[in-house]
Amino acid sequence: MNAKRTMRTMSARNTMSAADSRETMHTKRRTRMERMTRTLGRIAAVASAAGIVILALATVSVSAAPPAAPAPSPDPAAAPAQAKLQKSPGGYHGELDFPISWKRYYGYAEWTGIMRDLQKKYPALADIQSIGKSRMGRDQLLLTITAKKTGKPEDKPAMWVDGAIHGNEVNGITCSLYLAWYLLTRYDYDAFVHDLLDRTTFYILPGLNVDANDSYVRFPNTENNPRETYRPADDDGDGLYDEDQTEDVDGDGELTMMYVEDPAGDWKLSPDKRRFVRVEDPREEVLRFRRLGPEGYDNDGDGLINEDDIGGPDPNRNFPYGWSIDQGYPYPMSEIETRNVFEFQLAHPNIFASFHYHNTGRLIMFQAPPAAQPRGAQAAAAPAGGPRGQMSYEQRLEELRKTDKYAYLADRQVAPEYQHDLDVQNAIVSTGARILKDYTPTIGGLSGQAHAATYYMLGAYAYLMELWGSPVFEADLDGDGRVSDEEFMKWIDIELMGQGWIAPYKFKHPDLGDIWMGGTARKHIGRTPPARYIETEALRNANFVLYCASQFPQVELTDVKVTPAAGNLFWVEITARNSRVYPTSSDRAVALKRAIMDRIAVSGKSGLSVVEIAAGPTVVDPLDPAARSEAIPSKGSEFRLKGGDSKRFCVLVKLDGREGWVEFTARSRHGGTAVKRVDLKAGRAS
Amino acid sequence: MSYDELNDRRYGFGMSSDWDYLQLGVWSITTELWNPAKDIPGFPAVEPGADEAETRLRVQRALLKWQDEKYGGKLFVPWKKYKHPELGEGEIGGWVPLYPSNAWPGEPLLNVCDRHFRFELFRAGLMPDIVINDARARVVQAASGPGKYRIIEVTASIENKGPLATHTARGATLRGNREDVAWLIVDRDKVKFLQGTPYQRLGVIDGAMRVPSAGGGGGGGGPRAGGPESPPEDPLYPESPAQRRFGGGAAPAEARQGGARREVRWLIAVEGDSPLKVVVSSQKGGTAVRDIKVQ
Repeated sequence: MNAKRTMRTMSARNTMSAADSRETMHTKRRTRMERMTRTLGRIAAVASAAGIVILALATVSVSAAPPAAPAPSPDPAAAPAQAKLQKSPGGYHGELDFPISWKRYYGYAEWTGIMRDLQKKYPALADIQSIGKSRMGRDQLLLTITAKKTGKPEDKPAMWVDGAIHGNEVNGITCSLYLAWYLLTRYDYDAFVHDLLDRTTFYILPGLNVDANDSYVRFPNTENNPRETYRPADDDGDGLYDEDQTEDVDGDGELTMMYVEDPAGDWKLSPDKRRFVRVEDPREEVLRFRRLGPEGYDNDGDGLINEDDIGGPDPNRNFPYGWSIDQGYPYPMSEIETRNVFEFQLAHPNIFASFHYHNTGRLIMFQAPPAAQPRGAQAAAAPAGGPRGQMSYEQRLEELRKTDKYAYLADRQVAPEYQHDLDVQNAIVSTGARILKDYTPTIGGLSGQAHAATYYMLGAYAYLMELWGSPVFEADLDGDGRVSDEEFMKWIDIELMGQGWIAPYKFKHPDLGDIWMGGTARKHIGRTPPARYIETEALRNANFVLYCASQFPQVELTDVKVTPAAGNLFWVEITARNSRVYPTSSDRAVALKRAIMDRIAVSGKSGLSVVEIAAGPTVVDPLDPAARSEAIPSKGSEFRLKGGDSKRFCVLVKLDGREGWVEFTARSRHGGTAVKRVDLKAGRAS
Repeated sequence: MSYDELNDRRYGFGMSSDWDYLQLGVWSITTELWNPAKDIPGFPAVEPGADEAETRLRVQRALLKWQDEKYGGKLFVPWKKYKHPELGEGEIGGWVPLYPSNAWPGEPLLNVCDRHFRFELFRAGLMPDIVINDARARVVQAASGPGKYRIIEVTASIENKGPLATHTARGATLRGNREDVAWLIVDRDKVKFLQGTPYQRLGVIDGAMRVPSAGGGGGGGGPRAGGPESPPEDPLYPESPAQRRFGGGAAPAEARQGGARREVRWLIAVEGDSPLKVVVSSQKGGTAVRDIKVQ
C-alpha cells in the first residue's frame, strides 16, 4: 500500500462514516458535517506537509491461547493447504477412510475399540485417555479431538460431549461416537471441520455410565433399565441389596410382560391377538388376564417382581447444583462415574460449552440463567424501556416467527446482568431447532443434573439433548401429537417391517405356572431408535454441536485508524470485535468470578514509543464526540466482548525516528489471541 | 435439603451437623469445646464490666495472670518491637496460637475430655437396641398322607429396649433410611408362605424413653411419642420406589403396631425338619437373630 493511497483511504473513511450515520439529517446539519470532513482532511494535509506519512499496515494472526501462555499463532500463509479439500457437496468426504456401521448399537468392548482405532488412525487429531474407572472397573474412555499442530487441546476453547449418563439411553453413545467419527474423517476434506478443529477442542465421552451402558446393549433388558450406576441399593427396604433383579425367564433375549389367566382380570387380548388391552365392558364374556408384572421371578418372596433391580441413585441427579437427597442419594458426586466427569471438567477450564445426550422426547433442554422473579410478578412489573420491553412475550415470539418459524424465546425474565446469556441461548437453540427440525427447545431443570452443574458451577453453556422420542414423530398419522395403539402397530408393520413386536404367547413359569407373556415392543423401539434411524439422528445432532462450536467467540482486531494529534504524536485506534454468537465469557462465569477478562496490550517498537496516558474514555476526534475509544494504559486494559460485540481502543504514540511500529495484542481465554501491527513512517508523500 | 444460592448464602450451609441431621436423619450435635473461663478448674469468677468489651478485657487479664502463675508465662509471648520487612515498624507477640481456642494442657485439658467423655457415653446409652424377646414355632397341622408338609405358625415378639426410636422423625422421611424388618429364614425350596411374606415391615420402633412434648399437654407426643399407646406407624415411604415403579398389588406383610414392641406372625408349610430362623434387621437398632425349634 503506498502512502498516497493510504491518505485517500483515511479521508474517504471519515466521509463515509459521516454520511452513513446521518442520512436523514437536516440539510443544515449535513452541511456542518461536510465542514467537519473538510477540517479532518486539512489535519491530514498538515501532517503530510510536515513530512509525516502514515502507513497502517496490519498483519493479523488469530489463535486460541490462554492469557498467561499464548500458543504460537498459526500463520495461515505458512500452513499447508488442506490436503484433500472437497469443494463439491456431492463429493467424497472421507467416510470410507474409517468404515463403520451406524446401523447398530455397540457394547463397551466394541465402542471403546472403535475409539482406540479412531485415535490410531488419526493421531494428529485425537488423543485417548481414561478419565477414571467405573464401579465395576471399566475405563471411562474419552477422546480429545483437535488439530494438534495449531496448539494444545487445553489452550483452545472446548466443547464437552457425553452420552448415556443413564445406562439405558445408549443412542447417546452412538451420537457422540458419530460426532468423533465425523470430525476425524472429514478434517482433511471439509473446510468447515478443518477450520473448527484448528481452533477448537472436543472432549467426547461416548459412554458415561459404562457398566449400565454395556449391560443395556448386550443383555436382555426392558427399555428402562439398567438406568442408574451400579451402586448397590435397597430399593424395596427389606435390608437386602439388588436381590430382585430382572430376569429373562424364557431365555428369548427379551424382557416382556407377564399375565395369568384370571376370570376376574382386567385385561383381554386385542382383536388382532397381538396386544393385551383393558376390558372396557365388565359384562363382556372374554378370556381375561391379570397382569403379573415384568418378566422375572419374585426372588425375595414379597409379592413384587423385579422391584429391587440393580443400580443406585440416578446419576443425573448426583451433580452438586440443585442436588437433593431424594433424587441424588446419598450425597453429591457420590458416584465414581459422575465424579470422574466433574473433576475432569473442573480441571479443564477451557470447556466453554457442553452437550449431554439423553432420551427421550426430542428436546433441546438448555440451561438458562435464574429467573429474576416469578412469572406473576413479571406481568405486574413495569415494562423496561424500548419496544422490546413494551411487547408481551407472546407478541415478541410472534414477531420473531414471522421471519423464522423455528425462532424460540424463553419465557423467563432474568436480572440485567444475565440478559446476554439468555439472549445467546435463545439464538443458539433457535438455530438448533432449525437444524434438528422436530426438536423443541425448553429450559432445563436443576436438581443435581449434569448440565445444571456445567452452567451454574462452571459457567459453561450447557445443553441436554433428549434424543429420539418414542416413535411419536414417525408414527403419528393423524398429527394429533400422540400415537395410538393402532398407529403404533402400523408403524411397526410398515416402517419396521414387522420387526420390533412380541406377540402374546403361553409359557410355563417355574414359579408361577402357566402364564402368558409378550404383547410388548422389543428393546430399541421406544427409548432408543431402531437401528435404521440411528445415523439420521446422529448426523443432525452432530451438526448442531458443530454449529455451536463454530459460534465460540473469536476475537479479531480490525478497523485501524491513525490520527495526527500534535507534532510527532499520533492517535492509533483499533477495534476488538467478536462476531460470533457466544460472548468471550458467559454472564454466569462472570457472576461466579471464574471468568478471565479479555485483555489488550500495546507495545511500540523501533523508533516509536507509546505515551503513557490514563485508562478511560477518550475522544480522539474532537469533532465527533460519539466516536469514543478506550485509552490503553501501559499495563493494558481488560474488557469482555459479548456475542456480536465490539470495543474501540486507542493509544497515543510518539514517532521518535522516521519510522516505527506499534503492536496490539488481544488475548481472550475462549476468544483466542489476535495480534495486529501498525507501521508508521515519516516521509514526504510522493 | 439442598443449598439454594439465592436464599442460603447468608447461612453457614454445609456444616457436618446440618448434614448429619438433615440428610442422614441422625442425632447430631456440634460441640464447641473450650471456654477457658469455665473449663479451668479453680479459675476465679470475673466480675462483668460495664460492657462486653470491658468484660472481655477483664477475662483476658485474669487469664494472663493465671498463665503467668500456673504455666510460667509459657502460653503467651510478650509483645516486642519488630520491623516487618513489608509492614514496617510494629510490635509482635501475643498468645501462642495453639491456646486461645484449645484447652490448656494439664488439668484444663483433662477436665474438658472427661466432661465430654461422660456426655458421649450418656448419648451412646440412648441408642436403640433391638431384641427378640420371644420366638416360637407351633405345629398347626402335622404332615399326613402323601403330603410331606407340616403347617407351622411362627410368632416372634420384638422390642426396642434402647431409650431412643430406631429413627428420628427426620430420619424416617429420608431416602436411604428404611424401616425395620423381620425375616423368617427357611430353606427356599422347602417352604410355602401361607400367611405373611418372608419379610415383614415393622415401621420405626419407638424407644423406651418418653420424649417430652414441645407443645405441652403432658408427656409423650414429641418428635416421636413413646409407649405402647402410640398410634401405628406410617411407613417410611407411603409407597416404596418399587411400588411406585410397578404399581400396587401384592406387597410385603406389615406389622406396625406402634410403640416399642412388635408382634410378628407367619403361617408356613414346611417340608421335613427345615430349620427356622427369625432375623430382625434395624439400621440403627442392630440385628437380632433367633433360631427356633418347632414345638
